[in-house]
Amino acid sequence: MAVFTKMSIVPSYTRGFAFSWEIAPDFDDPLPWTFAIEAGQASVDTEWEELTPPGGVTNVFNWTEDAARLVNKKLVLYFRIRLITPNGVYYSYVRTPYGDLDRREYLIVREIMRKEILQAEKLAGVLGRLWIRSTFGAICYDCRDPVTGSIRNKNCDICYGTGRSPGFHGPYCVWMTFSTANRDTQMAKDGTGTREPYVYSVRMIGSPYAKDGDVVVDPRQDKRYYVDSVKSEMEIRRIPVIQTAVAREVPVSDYIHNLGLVPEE
Amino acid sequence: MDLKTNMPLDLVDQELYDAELLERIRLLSQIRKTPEVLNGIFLEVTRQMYSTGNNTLFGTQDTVWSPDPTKSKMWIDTEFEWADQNPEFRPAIYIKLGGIKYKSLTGRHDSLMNVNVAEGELEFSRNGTGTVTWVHIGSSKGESVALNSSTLDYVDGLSRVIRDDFCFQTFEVVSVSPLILDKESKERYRSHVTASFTFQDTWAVKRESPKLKRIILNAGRTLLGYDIFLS
Repeated sequence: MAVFTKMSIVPSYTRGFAFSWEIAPDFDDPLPWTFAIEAGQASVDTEWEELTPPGGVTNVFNWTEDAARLVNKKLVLYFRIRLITPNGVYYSYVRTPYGDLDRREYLIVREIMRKEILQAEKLAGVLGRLWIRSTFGAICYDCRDPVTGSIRNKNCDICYGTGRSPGFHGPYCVWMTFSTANRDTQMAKDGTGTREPYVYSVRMIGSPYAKDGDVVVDPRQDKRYYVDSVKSEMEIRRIPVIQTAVAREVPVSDYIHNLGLVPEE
Repeated sequence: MDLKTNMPLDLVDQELYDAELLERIRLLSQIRKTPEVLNGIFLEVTRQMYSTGNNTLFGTQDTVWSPDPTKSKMWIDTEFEWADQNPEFRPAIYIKLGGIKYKSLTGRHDSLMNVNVAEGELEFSRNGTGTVTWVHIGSSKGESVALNSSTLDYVDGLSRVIRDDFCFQTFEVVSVSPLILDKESKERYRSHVTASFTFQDTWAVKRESPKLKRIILNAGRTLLGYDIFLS
């Protein structure tokens, strides 16, 4: 069984390489899962250098280098990810830094991302947080039906109704540009309470790639949004460069507002 | 107490409520079943049931209702209640009262049952039939189904107690709906439990004595050369 089902490397203008990976949904080793990203000068028979901080990173599935990387022109780097669980050590397959792109396309993507971040940072955007909903990881046994496996408590402290532990990983800092809003509070026609259907489109670079059910946090206004659908505004060879997420503002009564808060003693 | 004899025990009658309390308290079962009273009955029953985790399914004991909105883990209310502070509070249960159909007991259209000449009272009575639906909204399929099952268990199992305590003639669960997908700030799942009930309304009208005054109404028409007067 392949433990790593996906490993992507995309450019990050300000911070070198951005790595993201996914684990097989049926991989159920106990937590914690500690990841280390390793770089080598050949795909085999090489010495692997650890890029992540000593001890690795725990229970996250995206990681970006701290600073831009200066690489020798002729040097070709190879990357792989190591996973350590209480049950064993697992390695991903080895990838080159450009992933599915060649060097020129990689540089074009990086330049487009740089300009996108520039307009968000200097003019229109906010530095938001993106929580990625877990679709893989250890099963949460606190809220699941023992027979059917269905999730009975969406306000679960452990998984926040995703059925996985942890329920969300992150947060990942992303520059985001929000659309203007049309705010309207109204009564549901079927009598099932008050609704606040505030919908925004949020534009950001394609890394990390958002998906349905992820949570966007706008720290300036302390608002949270559920990602509803995601559209790639631009792709190069299927690599998302710019993405726009349709985000619905989360009502204040929703339990997801506790996500990321440190519980009181 | 002497238990060696078969003679009936000489027990003193003990009233459930003293006279003062009886004047101050009107039980829900004693009030005419207007839609407002019916809403109150079913809302109170549901809130009491979900006030303790003992009445809910395994794994959902923490999902309890509390009168304090800051502590409540679920929203229970009647339909079309505006909640500015807590829009989309989920999970939620909404009580929907269906239409009520009235039927005369005697076949008369005015529901008149008796005329008490001595007291000058008219006594009316009729039957009412209606439905009540518990709408469960959860953020996952499992949550909605668990709430639905808890309500079904409680209302179905205690249907006879509810019937007797609230003075219904009949009270029984009639249907459980399949799941329905709704789109709110994210996907929600809705399921219904519906019960039907029948009750009997009675009321009396006591008219004041007719005034001793002759009233002449002129119809303003002439028939065969004579004015018509009604008196």
